[in-house]
Amino acid sequence: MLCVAAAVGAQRAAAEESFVDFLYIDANEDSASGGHVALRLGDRTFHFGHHAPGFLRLDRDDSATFERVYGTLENRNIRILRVPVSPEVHARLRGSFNERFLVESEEFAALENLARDRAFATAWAAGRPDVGVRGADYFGAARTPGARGEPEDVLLRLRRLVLARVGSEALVGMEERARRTLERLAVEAREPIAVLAAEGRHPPLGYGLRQRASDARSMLEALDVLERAAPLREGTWVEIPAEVLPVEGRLRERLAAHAQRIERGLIAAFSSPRRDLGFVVLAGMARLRAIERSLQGGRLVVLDVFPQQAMRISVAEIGRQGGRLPLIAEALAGELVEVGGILEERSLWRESDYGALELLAGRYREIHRAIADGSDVRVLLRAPLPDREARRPIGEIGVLPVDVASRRIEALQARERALSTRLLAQHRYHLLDHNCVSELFAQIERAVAEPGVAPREASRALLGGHVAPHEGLSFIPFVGAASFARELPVVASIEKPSYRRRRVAKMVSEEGMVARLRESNVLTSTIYIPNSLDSSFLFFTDERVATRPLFGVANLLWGVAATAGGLPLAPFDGGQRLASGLRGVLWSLPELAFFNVRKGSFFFVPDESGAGMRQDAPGAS
Amino acid sequence: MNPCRNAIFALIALALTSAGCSFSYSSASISDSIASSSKSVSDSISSSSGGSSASEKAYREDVRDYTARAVKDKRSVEALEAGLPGVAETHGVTDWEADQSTWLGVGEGLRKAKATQEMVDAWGQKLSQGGASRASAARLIQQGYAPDPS
Repeated sequence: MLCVAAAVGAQRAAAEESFVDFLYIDANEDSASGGHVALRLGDRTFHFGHHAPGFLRLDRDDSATFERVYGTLENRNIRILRVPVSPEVHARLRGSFNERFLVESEEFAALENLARDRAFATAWAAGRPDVGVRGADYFGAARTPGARGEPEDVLLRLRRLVLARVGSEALVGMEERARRTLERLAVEAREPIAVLAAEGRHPPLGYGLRQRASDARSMLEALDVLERAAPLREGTWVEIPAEVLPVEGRLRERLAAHAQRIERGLIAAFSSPRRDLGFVVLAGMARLRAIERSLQGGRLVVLDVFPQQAMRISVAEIGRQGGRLPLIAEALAGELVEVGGILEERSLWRESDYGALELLAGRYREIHRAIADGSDVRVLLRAPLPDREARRPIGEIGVLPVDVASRRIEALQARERALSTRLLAQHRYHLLDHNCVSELFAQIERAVAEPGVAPREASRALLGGHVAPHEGLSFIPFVGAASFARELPVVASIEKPSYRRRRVAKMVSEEGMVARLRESNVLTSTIYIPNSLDSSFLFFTDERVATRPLFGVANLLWGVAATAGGLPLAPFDGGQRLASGLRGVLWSLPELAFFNVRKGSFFFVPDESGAGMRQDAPGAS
Repeated sequence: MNPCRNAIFALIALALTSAGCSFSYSSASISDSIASSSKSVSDSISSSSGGSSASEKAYREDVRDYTARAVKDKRSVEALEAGLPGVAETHGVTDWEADQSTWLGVGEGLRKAKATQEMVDAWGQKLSQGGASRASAARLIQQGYAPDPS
């Protein structure tokens, strides 16, 4: 149904105002089976998620990724409740959510750092002090006889230019400072550890002994690599066949220009006061080496940006989850070519532009390696960084006396406990009291708060309405969305159907009702691939409400049969079929009462366009 | 132990657990990290009509908001500097000193936090110390701080 008035009103408003989009994401099995909510503010979408071991934290995705993950791969319907606001209010909301995201990220990083500091102190006390040196793994172990390779021009040139800029005394001075830093650590270890900042204050990132040791060791490593003009270590780079992306013509020129830019940055960096200079220099030198290889060989060579401890997923598991490696490889090759084309046209590359090449090349290699030899596929869940770490001993720091070590480890434990307790108090997840819905409404309240003004009034003044975070049943996602639609001036309610529904609608329009019949079940569907993440079921029940109980009975029987069939197989498949059958029974039960949760999901969906959007009158759902 | 009763308990526990909020790393987000289905990487580096790519704008916005928050929390300029590498790395940036967006973002953050011109001058001077990478930091911070001509 299309409400023309609403659409026209929305378009008019779009020309004059900004929008806040409240997203209600339909239920499906896996996580968030009760549904989910999020706030879309332009190209960023904010939502609260459950993080181990029991935290409720603000997550941030770019809006296209959010829609792809929830609407396409998780195959959920998304209802968008659109509220017009002034650009100032939009910026205020976005800034508030974003600041919170950054603060939270830093707080949890501080907690992780304390755990690492404690591990470092423990190893030091045991007489085995070592640190991780980011970027060092690309060059192999320093000063190891036989590891020295043939010096290559690019680092010799860099060394000459650095010496010309800062002089050899400066490099000697840097080495001496790094060694002194390491030698002083045993003395500094006797100093008390600062107490945690007062409640409610953003705790500053500490610069603990481990980090100081790591930075100093990185500097020594970087100077050593520069001195030796060390080659890349075998196995630390990724090579893309020239048939996929040849390094020639303009791409070659752009790569050479980017190498010059890295070189200029490195020369300038040698006079920088930054603490982590060693890492920056190692990363830059490794990239220079990779580009050098690309230019020499005519095929793209980039650093392997997957950390050593990257999550891995087996080929068998990808298959069970419905992934088809050749299709994924084809899509990645296409995107590599596209990114190469974009970068050919860009005269000046940013670091993240080159990082995009590293990321895609890494993904491409992972899939092709898996196809070739069945090895596990590594997963990169963060931005690509050339930071493969190597452990390095730091004998310079001497011995840590037992009494000093005990005091330090105890102090670190106390600080870790205090920060953990505070974070749990602030961010503890609770299914009913403190979940993704209540905290989203609470954060909206905070964003529009005015001193001396009641939250309800402040929200009404800026947003035109208010939903209290803990009122009634609004902690339930669909109730919260209904409250939002009722209380705020929603000008458009837009439904974005799930991926499967979009595809079925398109097929029905092209082929007629035969397509609907064919796609109604998992046996004949051409869209859906049964997979291990979904429970055992036969019919899709997310489209037709009237037939839901009937299909639900069929699904229930299918689940029972799968359970019975899975029982004898349990010793052989780890109980997977049994669990799938049991889950099939569970998610069939709501269908008997006209409710749908299960919708199926997808491991991989090629680029799709022309996704149908449906606009309803405000409040319709 | 009654197997039937255990199975029912397991089903109820499963229903309650999964009824909760979305997990941070769901299966879908992991598969999306293996093979993004919709050219997300190329989209992130494509330039909009304004000339900046989505990734560049996102980085600058984060530096702005991080700086604004630091000012509101009365953190020192040294504390801001210590936090900038972490912000940069989430955007795949290691050499943040050489990235103009860093300094423009700091200036915009100071403006967002309603910092005085004296503070901008002091922070600009401090942050521009230390070598060629930061030669234009003070100028860019001022540029980011200055209100739009429009």
